[in-house]
Amino acid sequence: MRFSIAVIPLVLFAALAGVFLLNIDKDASVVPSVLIDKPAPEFSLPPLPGRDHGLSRADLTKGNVSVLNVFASWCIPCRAEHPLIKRLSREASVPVYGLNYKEKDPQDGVKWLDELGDPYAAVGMDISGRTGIDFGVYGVPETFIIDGNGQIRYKHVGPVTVEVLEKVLMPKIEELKG
Amino acid sequence: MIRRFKLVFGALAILLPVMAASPAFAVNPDEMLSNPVLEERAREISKELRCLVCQNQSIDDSDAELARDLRVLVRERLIAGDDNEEVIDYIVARYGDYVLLNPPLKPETYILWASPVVLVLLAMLAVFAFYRRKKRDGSTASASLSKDEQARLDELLGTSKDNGKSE
Amino acid sequence: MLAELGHFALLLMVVTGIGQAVLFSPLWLRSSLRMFSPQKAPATPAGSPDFPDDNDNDGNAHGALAPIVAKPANLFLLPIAILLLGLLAEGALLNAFIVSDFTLPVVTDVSHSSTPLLYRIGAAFTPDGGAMLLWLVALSLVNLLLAFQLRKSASLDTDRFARNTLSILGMLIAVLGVVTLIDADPFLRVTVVPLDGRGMNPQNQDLLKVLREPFLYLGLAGLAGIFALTLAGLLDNRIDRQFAETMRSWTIASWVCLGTAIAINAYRSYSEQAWGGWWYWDTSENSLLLPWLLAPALLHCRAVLEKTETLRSWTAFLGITTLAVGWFGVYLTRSDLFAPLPETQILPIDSNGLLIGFCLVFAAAYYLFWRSVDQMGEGRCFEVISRESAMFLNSVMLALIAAVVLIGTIYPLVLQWITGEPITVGAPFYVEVLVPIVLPLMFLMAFAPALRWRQDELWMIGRRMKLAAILSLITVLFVSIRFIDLSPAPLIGIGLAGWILTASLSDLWARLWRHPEHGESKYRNLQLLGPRYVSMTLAHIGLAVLIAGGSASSIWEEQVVVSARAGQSIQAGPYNLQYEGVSLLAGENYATRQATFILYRHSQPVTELFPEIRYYPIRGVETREADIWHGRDGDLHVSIGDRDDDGGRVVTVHYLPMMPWVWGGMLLMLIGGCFSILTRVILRLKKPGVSTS
Repeated sequence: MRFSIAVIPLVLFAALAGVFLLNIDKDASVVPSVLIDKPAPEFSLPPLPGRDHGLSRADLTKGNVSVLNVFASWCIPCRAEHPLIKRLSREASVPVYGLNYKEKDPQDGVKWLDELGDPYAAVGMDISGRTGIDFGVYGVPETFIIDGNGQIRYKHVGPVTVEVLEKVLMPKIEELKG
Repeated sequence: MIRRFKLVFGALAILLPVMAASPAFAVNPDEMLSNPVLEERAREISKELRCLVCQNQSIDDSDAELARDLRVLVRERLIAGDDNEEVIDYIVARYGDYVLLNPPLKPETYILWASPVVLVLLAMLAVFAFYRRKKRDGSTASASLSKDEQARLDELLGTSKDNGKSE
Repeated sequence: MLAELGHFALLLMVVTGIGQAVLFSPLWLRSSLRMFSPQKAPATPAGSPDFPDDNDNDGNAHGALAPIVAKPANLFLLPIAILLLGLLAEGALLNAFIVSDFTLPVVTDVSHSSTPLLYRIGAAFTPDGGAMLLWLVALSLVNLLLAFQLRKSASLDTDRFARNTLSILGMLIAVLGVVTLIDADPFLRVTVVPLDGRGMNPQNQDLLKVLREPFLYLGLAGLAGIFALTLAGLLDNRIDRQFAETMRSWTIASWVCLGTAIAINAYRSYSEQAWGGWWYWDTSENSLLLPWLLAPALLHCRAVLEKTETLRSWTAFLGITTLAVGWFGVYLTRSDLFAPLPETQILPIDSNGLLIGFCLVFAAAYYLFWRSVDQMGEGRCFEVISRESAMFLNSVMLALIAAVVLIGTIYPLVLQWITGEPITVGAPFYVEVLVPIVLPLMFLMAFAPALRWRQDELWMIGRRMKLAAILSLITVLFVSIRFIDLSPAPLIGIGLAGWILTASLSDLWARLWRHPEHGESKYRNLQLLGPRYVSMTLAHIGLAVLIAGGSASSIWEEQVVVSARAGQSIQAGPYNLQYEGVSLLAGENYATRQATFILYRHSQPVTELFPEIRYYPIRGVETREADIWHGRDGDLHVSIGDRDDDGGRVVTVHYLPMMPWVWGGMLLMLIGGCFSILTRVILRLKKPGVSTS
């Protein structure tokens, strides 16, 4: 059969269909952070009302792997992932820090933690949301894994699920520890 | 728009506290800078930046909380003396090229930016070739038409005769 | 029980669809003939569209088989049955929404017992399953109408082209039915019944938005009709004058339906959001735009085909591709690939079936296109300077625009899959890239009425268009001198819009004042215009008006954002708004803060405006409803925001001069299309069987 330009639509279509079929189950809705493998930004956040310790970059550079979880009392998925953050804090034997993002009332975060339990080694309060922006946060909840040198090594956007916890976060933490 | 309402005081009493906490609004007066030149630049920059949680809306156009924070940030950077480029770089350093509504020219986007030019050139070439061929073999065109007509005639005769076609 | 009935109807619809695909297929006639003669096995799968070498004489078989399959009276049974089954399924689904049957997760996902009835019905079209079902019903309607139309010109039991068309449509119905059942079966029940639903997405709670989905899917179904006609035409090498004639109303009808959906989309964004924007180039908008751009491309090259029997392959290509981009667009919007945040939904989003169906159908279609296009001859050529030529170039440019939009839409996705690098392709890209294509297109459009068919001379055109050229040059000069400091693109847009307007109007003028020949009625000139001319002129003027309005409002837009107190007056353009305060009211399923403004124009009261912030407690979502005054010199767009720290209320006022032109232009285009279809239908009814061209 001789070559004809009429084959071009078929070829183009096949290419397009191929790309989409190959990626059929990939989730493209999560934007990978540009901050991966970059040092965590400089920050120093005040503590929750009635607590002593806030959170600053120094906490993340103590030489051990740590997890930073961005949460807020107004965020409904945060409530859903909270038990898993507790489990993470129990099982991973790394400090889990909390970034309490943009509370309308500083008391809200405290009440929320009192109600649901507090898995965090320390919590910083980011009322203005500026530290969140420095971390490239765009949808609460987000979970960062940070290595001992204060480098951001992984970021999960959206609520942590059992699957994410067991198949992604824990192995990543183990890998960084070992 | 629906203009008829039923006043239900009970419902309102419950809803009031909830309604007090509402998302921000595109460009609030309290965000705006008193310096009109800076404010104009801020608007210009905001139109180039994507609201990350929306679909293709700029932060200038968005009600989202994050968009508001970014608008305030843009204005703060301007007051701090950054030029437009620096402000945009500041945001890109945190969120990546994803925040730019106008994709920057870099190896990953060469194909994107080249495609319209290439498509226009190809189309021009194809149209040109089309007219050239028409000019050259006007005679063969009519020959192929007759062949085609012949084929159809055969087919018509083959199927049925009461199949009146208005040709 | 009704849901089960609906489920069963949907299932039967697939079966009948397959039945139609098989029974109407001439191939089936041949293979069943082989069944009768025992030495050959019926190996070929019936209903498969690709049998390029199947052009030998099936006609002989008809004599033998006619009593079995082809009683003319029975042939309509299948399309009618499919439509009835579709309506039954749709009715069952609507019923589930109306009575709020929360045993169906589709209902739970997007509806709530407190949602008003109208929006409960509207909600039925929004989840994946409901939308697919709507598409199927629209498709079965097109199927029946097409069967009626084809019977007018050819007998259904003998005409291979007509049978192939219906067979392919039956197959499409079956494919989409299967996709619906696999991906998003709307009739599945759950055993643990929730107490109430999650509520409709409040942004969809709007009368226009409810109408959008039926228009969208009717448009897509019309494109499917064109697709079936095209494939049948390719199979039989019958991409000819009659084919073009058959396709005509379908092209216009689909274009009008899609245009209505787009207009609704644009107006809804405009009236819901605070900043008066109406087009964001996001995925759902682009996927509507793509088929809407290709439909007029098809419309124009179809006209050339009808006149000269040239451009056969190009018409066939567009006939396939228009549905392809439409279907692909549905996939892109439904697949959630572009959602900026991971959604939390009860129903998992699964549109893989839609993608696989898409790939199968169009791989076959493009394969058939490739194999059969070479056998297609071309008619006598047209000259470079002729109306055909202008129409051909127009369709090429529209296709170019569509290609650019398609690339811009999928590029971020593909790039992220390949390199992991996320980018955004937003409005600035499209504007920069499309303006250089749209401007020459508009320049060319003005010539449409002045050009003659087949062949024309440059100097003749010059003579006909001299008035338009002078007038539009004056417009451009005036506008650019008056507003010298503004960016040139919108000004050129206004100038070109003026060029199209003056060209169309001066041609109309010339035709209307043609000196009547002796003894002619004085309405003769009006009659001579013809429905095609009128609808074309309306559509072209509509586009010009739309572009002029869009350009002008983007240049001269005024925005005022203030923190207002009761009694305060706000100036915007020639208007003056007096803020009266906000009152709390309760809507049917929402609470609203409604502000009252009194609008003055040159200190004369004009009207009252009531922008609102609504709070929908079920989803805990707020929406902002702007209120808009469409004045004669522009839109006044008011919306309110939060209470400011100093106790005032944030008020945003936009004065968008010439914005009504945008809406008017959209309406004119739609009216032009409707006019064309209506006159055709009326003429057809008057003189059955006679074409109106």
